[in-house]
Amino acid sequence: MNKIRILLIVCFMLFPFLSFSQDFVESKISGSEINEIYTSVYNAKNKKEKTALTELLAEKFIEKEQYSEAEDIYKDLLGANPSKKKRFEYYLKIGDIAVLEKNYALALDYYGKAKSLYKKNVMVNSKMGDVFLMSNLYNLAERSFLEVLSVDKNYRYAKKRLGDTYFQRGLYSKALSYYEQINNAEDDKELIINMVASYRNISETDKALALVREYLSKNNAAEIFFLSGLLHSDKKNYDLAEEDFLMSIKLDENNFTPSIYLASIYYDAGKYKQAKFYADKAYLLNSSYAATDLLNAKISYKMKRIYDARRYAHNAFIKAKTPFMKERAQQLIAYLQEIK
Amino acid sequence: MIRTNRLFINHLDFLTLKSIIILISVFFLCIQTSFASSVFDFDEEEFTINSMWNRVLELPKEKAPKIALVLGGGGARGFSHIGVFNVLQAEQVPVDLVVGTSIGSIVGAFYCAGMPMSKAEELAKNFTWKSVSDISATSMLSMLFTENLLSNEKIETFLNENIGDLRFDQLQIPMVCVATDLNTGERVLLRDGSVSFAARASATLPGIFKPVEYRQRYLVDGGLSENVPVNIAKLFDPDIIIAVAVSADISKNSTDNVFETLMQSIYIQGKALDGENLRQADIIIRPEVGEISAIDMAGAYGTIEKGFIAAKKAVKQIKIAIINKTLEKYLIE
Repeated sequence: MNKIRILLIVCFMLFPFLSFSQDFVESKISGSEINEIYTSVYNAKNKKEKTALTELLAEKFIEKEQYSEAEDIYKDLLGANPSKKKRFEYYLKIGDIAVLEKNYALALDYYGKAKSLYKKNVMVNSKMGDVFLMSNLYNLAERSFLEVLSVDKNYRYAKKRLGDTYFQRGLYSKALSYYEQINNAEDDKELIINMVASYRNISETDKALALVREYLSKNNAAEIFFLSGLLHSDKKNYDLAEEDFLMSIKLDENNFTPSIYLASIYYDAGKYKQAKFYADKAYLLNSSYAATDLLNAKISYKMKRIYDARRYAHNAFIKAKTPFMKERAQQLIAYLQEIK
Repeated sequence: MIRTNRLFINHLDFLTLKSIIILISVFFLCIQTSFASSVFDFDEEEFTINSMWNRVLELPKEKAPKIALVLGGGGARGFSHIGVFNVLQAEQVPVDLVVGTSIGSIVGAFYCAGMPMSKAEELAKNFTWKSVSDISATSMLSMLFTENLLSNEKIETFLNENIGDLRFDQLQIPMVCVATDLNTGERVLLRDGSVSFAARASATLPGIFKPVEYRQRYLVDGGLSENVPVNIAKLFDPDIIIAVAVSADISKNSTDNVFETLMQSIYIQGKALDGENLRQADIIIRPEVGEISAIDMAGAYGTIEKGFIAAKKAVKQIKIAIINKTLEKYLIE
């Protein structure tokens, strides 16, 4: 890869006098589209066109997840003494690549360089905020997003991410104060999910329900039906919860979670046959959870299948990963052992 | 202040970005963090707790574990107890006994009398020293010259206006207020007669307010003997004790004047007492209010959210404790 880099540097330095081996580069990159762009770079009439095509080449490498190739190209472009605006852009690009590679320290290094060029730029501050948030440095993330909003108070992304920052810190009311400022929130599934979780955490179930209803009036999404089911469960509206969980399962049949929740609702309602059906379905989808065995043990007990109940309770004990789950399995085993 | 902040921010921009980068590098070298999360991520513990919790809530009172809630003293910081109650109510955590000291007695009285917590929040928003005592710049000055302590009789009036002139046996939830006998240092349990009077006695800051006369005793703030009265709750033999500690962070407290130095002395003494008491609690809720001064009533309202957050974090632990104290046969039958 260093060879590509050297070639590009030389190309920029000596353009238009030098030509270099097209075959060599073609052997290093894949895809006809990239090869075509490369040929265009080679044949570019002037430096401006060559730069634009090289940038396009870097974009294509990113699309193909060949990040180090793209990074090398941007570094070379930086070496060609570009304008301040272009330098800013390349620093951001290298930072973005570092984020894609989950190298957050390097990302921050390059975003820092970009920020030194345009201190108040909303994009660089947003990107830095993102890195801080991904690194759980919430105070710094908060500062970055607030800085963005101090420049542009209507910057949607910063409002959302500032909300996310507070959400992750467990400051749900504060998170909502930013989420609620976002226009057309009902079209953003990710935002809806965080808002619903925030409302649920501050016990504003009705507001959460209104939000999911609005979303579901325009869209169908298994996740949102599942959330709606949870909210109805919170309100002890088990019939409505059942409907929503069933809908979520219909939209995404291979999902374990709505099935186990539905089984639990049926168990609570005394509908043991249905409970067994969905607990078994959940078990088939994922048999690693002690919770499924624990629920199956209780359903079997209610159906007077004591032998099965004991077997499930033992399985639950074996699979239990936390002291609480172990304790529950143990208590159930002890109770079932006393039954003749 | 603004200038200092700006200087700090600039300093941070130029010098600490490198440190942050190093910190992040170390963080990601040490921890493999997964950021992927989905609505469908299954927390089997939470699922099991919630399904069992529904059973606990359906149990008749005599079959459910008995829960005592202990509300510590801490002046303005203690309004965070309201946030704790908000969570306990929302999660339907049953409370069978409240034991309070000082502000814990006042907020506890709100709750045990059945006051909606939204009203308690409104009271916290408008709460001032003037509304519950004779405190003012003039009265403080006059106190220095005349050596006459101030009165906090207004606390009784304040409580009577907001919860009614209730006796302990009229409360919806049993309650005990803790005060201290100024002459003997003994803790005194107040659980009969007027609730407002007891809460006032429990919240009588020594050295500022006149001790409250009660059955040949002179009572002052319960914080002097039992700031987080877990020991008192234990006397009533509950199955679970939840303690809410709103102690000061003594390393951050100001000692710039006589009043603040007096408060700091109380905090230092209280810290030793709290540690001993809290060890006996099953669950401890600690709102992050240590930096707020007990006398800073302007900060009172802001502590409610801190109490809410701390209680929210403790809910899972509370539910686990209650489920584990419930007989299996009650959970399955």
